Amino acid sequence: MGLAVAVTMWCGLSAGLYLTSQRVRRMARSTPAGGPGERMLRHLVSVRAPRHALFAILALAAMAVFAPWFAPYNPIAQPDAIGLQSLPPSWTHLFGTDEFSRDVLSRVIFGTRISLSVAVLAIAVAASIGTLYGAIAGYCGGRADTVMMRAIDAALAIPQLLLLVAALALWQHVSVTALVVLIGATSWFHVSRLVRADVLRLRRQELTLAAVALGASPWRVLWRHILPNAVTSAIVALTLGIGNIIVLEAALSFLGLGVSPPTPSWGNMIHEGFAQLPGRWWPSIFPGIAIVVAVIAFNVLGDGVRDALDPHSRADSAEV
Amino acid sequence: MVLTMLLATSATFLLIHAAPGDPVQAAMSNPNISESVRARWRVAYGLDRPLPEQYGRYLAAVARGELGFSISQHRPVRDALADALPYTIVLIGVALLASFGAGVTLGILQAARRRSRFDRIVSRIALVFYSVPDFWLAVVILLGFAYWIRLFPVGGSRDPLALPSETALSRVRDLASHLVLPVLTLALLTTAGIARYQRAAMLEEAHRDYVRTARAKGAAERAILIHHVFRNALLPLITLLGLSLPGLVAGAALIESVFSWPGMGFLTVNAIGTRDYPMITAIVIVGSGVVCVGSLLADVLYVIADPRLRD
Repeated sequence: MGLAVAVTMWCGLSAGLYLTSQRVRRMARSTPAGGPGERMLRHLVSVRAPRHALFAILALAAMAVFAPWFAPYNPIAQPDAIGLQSLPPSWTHLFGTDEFSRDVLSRVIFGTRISLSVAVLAIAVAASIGTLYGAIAGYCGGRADTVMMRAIDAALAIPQLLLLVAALALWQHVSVTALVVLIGATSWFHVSRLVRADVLRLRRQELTLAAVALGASPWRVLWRHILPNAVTSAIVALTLGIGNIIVLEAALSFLGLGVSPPTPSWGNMIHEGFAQLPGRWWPSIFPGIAIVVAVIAFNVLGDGVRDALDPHSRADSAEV
Repeated sequence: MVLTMLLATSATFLLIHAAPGDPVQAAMSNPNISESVRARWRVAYGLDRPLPEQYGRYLAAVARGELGFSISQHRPVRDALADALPYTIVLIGVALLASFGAGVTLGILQAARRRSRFDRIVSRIALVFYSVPDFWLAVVILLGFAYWIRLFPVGGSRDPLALPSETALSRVRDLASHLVLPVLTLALLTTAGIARYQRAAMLEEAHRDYVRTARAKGAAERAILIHHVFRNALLPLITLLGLSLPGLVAGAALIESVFSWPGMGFLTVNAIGTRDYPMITAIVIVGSGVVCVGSLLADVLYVIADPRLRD
């Protein structure tokens, strides 16, 4: 039963993705230019690499949302702890089973949920703090700006992973929410730098002067006139940052500090599989491949977003 | 630099005190210990003082280089770190040298043959290594080159069967063979980043006016690339080096833990397992210190490489 549903879902997903990709490609060529967001999206899907990345991410997101239907088995149940223990990959268990007889493929699919949601939520936290901090520093300028940016320089030199390890080890059992907040609260430093640089530049331009001359309050100037123009570089950094956070969460879980079992996350699966080496490689290798695919997708998308937003870098930057 | 250390120390202090539970309670969880004994220990450790005073004492102790007493190793944290730090520095140093050489060369070749098949393939491979999680690559390499193809030792820093009477030369050779796989892992990861960056920097410089001038005066394409473009494209790379150090230290930590290389990362993992808090917090502080010294070196390099910054 579970298997049949899973097979149907997979066929549906690939067919759906193929059809949308055809449709999107046609659309990208035909429709006239719209707003900046739409233009960016059109540019993204008109180039092959970011289009594929976008579809890969959509597929991962679909897998995360509809995990119970995509997964052929229950990711946590242990059907037969002796008979089905640590089976190598086969047609009934494509990625094999782990030491507790759980299906590795199903766990990888369910792991998408944790890994993606932690990454996306943490990046949202980082974006909010970083934008606010950078905007305030850039808008105030002068001594406040110097002090605030010195603090950022100092904070950037502390290895984030070590700091998080210390925090998580001290707090012991950390909920996923706390993990998101901790990762987000330590990932915003470079975002604030980028936003600050843009705000600093925009503050001197006529549009700001005009808004101030018309009697807008500082908050209104910042919020309505400066920030919408300052987010470009931050968006690029954040897209590229999602990949980093996926790796970071996996690393913490690999050290046994992130998401705690039995909830499957790609990192804690590798952690559990590591003890099975060298004989049983499948519980630790497949989740790693999932991480690589997801991170490549976000990195390519990030490069694509950068090229779409910044025409200067398009021709010659580190394109792939 | 001083600010960074201050921030790192403050952050760890904050972490220790924001964490639930009380260290004395945790260390003496036996219910038969009376509250008055616990109170006496709190006084002995200065935990009864107001927080600002504790903070001041903590800062002063770190400034003197007193990092506390390791619970799991039964010796001062400073001694344990002093044993581990050289291993980490050797690992990072060798990996950096190797990846710098390889990454810069690849970047130049890619930029020279831009949009060729070579360029595309190297870019793709670099992207993959750029996106691979460090600890997982370590696992794959360990599996590939230590278990399936038994080329190198599985882990540690020396052969457990080595005689105590071995010569210095064989000791070095033993150490080197244990170093190969961790260095390979770390170097592959950094090479990818460096090559990506070097290629972009070269291509950016290639559009400058001085390149056109060089070309106009009839300089050979190869000479332009090496003498003009490469030298200028090296500068942003030094900046990258300074910026990538925190990630490098963290990556080295994970790789060490997979290969049981007895550096700071290995120490970290053991400290997590034994809940050795003084050790963990000290590692954050020392790790930040390593990054600071590294960025300082990068700044010095920058001045050496860029004559415009010299007076």
